[in-house]
Amino acid sequence: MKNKLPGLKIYRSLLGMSFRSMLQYRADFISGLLGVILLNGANIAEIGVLSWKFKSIASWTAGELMILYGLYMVCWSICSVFFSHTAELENEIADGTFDKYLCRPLGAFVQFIGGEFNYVGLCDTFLGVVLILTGKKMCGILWSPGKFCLLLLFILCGGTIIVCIRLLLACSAFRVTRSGPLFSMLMLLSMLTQKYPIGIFGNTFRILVTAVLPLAYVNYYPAVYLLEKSDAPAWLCLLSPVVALLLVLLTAAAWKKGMDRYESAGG
Amino acid sequence: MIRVQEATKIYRVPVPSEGRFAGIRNLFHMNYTDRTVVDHISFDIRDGESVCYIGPNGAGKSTTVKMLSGILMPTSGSVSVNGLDPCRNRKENARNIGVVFGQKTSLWWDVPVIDSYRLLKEMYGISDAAFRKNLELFCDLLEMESFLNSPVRQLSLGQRMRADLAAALLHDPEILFLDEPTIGVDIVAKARIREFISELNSTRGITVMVTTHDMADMEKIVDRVIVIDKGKIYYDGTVAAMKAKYGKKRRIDLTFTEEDPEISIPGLTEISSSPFSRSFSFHTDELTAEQTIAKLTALPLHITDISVQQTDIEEIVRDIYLQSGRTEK
Repeated sequence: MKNKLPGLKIYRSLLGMSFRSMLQYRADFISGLLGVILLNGANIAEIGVLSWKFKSIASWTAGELMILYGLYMVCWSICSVFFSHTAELENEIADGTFDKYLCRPLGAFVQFIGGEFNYVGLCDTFLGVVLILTGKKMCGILWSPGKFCLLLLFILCGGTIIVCIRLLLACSAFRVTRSGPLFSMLMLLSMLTQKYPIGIFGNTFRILVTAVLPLAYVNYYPAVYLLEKSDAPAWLCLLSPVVALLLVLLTAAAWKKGMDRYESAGG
Repeated sequence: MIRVQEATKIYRVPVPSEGRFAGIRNLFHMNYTDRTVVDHISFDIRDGESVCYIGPNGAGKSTTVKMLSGILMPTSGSVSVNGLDPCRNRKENARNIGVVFGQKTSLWWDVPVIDSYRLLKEMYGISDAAFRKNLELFCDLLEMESFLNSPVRQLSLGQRMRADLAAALLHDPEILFLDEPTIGVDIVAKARIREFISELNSTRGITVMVTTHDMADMEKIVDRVIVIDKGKIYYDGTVAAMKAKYGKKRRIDLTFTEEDPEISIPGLTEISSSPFSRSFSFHTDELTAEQTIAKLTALPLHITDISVQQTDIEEIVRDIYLQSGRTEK
């Protein structure tokens, strides 16, 4: 405990520094904001059009699809706000920027992750919450306090799962120094899982996003449970905290292994 | 006290496969070749000593510094800094050392220099008094007042290097590692950086290890020099001893009134010639300066000017590199 607290304090200071750095680029901020709004606007419109045309997708109504997408957005925003720097790991390793963290009397992870505070991501949180609330209203469902707490737990686990998957991919940069293609692959996959009930893609896909890259635990299984859909058994949905915990352990091990074999650029 | 014993660093250089899904395949399987960058080197650096570590590009200088600062683990052999293994006791070691990599900054790019210093103060747990005292001193010696409140991205290279140097010293390290601290910096800033380093070395007794390509850095800052090439040490001793050992070549320049005279004296090697002047080099083991001048004046020539020079440090180092079997890049 004594060792952990200064780390947290430094993390806060680093975020403050990153925040001030970002404020230096106002045009970036505005274009980032526009990007988030346009991207999500397009996605929501797509769901709207599809569910208006077909009434429902694989028995998921428009309101339910909104909750599905809203869940993903809130989880993603946790990653986006606090862990944006993850994708930069390959560049920092390639150009040797990573070295400076090792010359200071602090953990490298805190210093690396504290390198970016992407407050634009808060727009995602906001839009996600709006979507969940709208979807809830459209479906006319009432959640008991217990279910509401479960929703928060699902969001926490979902955010953790995205963060860990991305960190795991980033850690591959310790090995091959380039992790860009993997991130593109992940993006393509999550474009499918974020807004469609994965049942429509067949069993192979379901296994892929359940057991290999557990993206389905970010929004699909939580939504299935909360909306009492018959897509998957309840016990499978409730595994979400277990999946999150396993991923955290795996990520911590991968980071440690990566650090052990870190060889900086140049000679 | 720095101790390096038989330290060797071998990089495993990946040979990526090509073609379809190479990125994914490389994740699971990768071929490697070994490249020895530092090859069984040993040296000690005493407290308060200032040492220059020189060598051509790719000689293994930065790798040595990275091993001493805890960034890289030696493949074999051992390094210790103040009795600590820099990799195993990385955080503890970080408190004892200050590191500047001339090629990249350790400061936060978009915020004023002083903000970076405040964050470093927090990271290292520097007391208010020590922070103020050091900041004042460094501002004064490095003339940093004018840009202390500017964001790092707006600084000139010379200013940035000074800012980085001060940043590495805020926590009063006992040992300072400088990796090419004057690279690309203009003459005035270079002089200031050198003066500053010498000053700290003599007044505070900070141990300094500088890697550089710049021979002037070596003559101005340090008293001991280690020459490394292709991962091996080729010379380790004082600058004066190096001059005495390797600086036996002399250069003699002549000007005369005759056009294109025939001059051939055994032991003299022609370096350059023009109709009314000639330059030779000779080795003091074969010919003394006195003998050379006597032989030249005995020739039927009207010599109007004559000068003898010791080879400069740059040439000495070049000779050492050449002895190591490397031709200049």
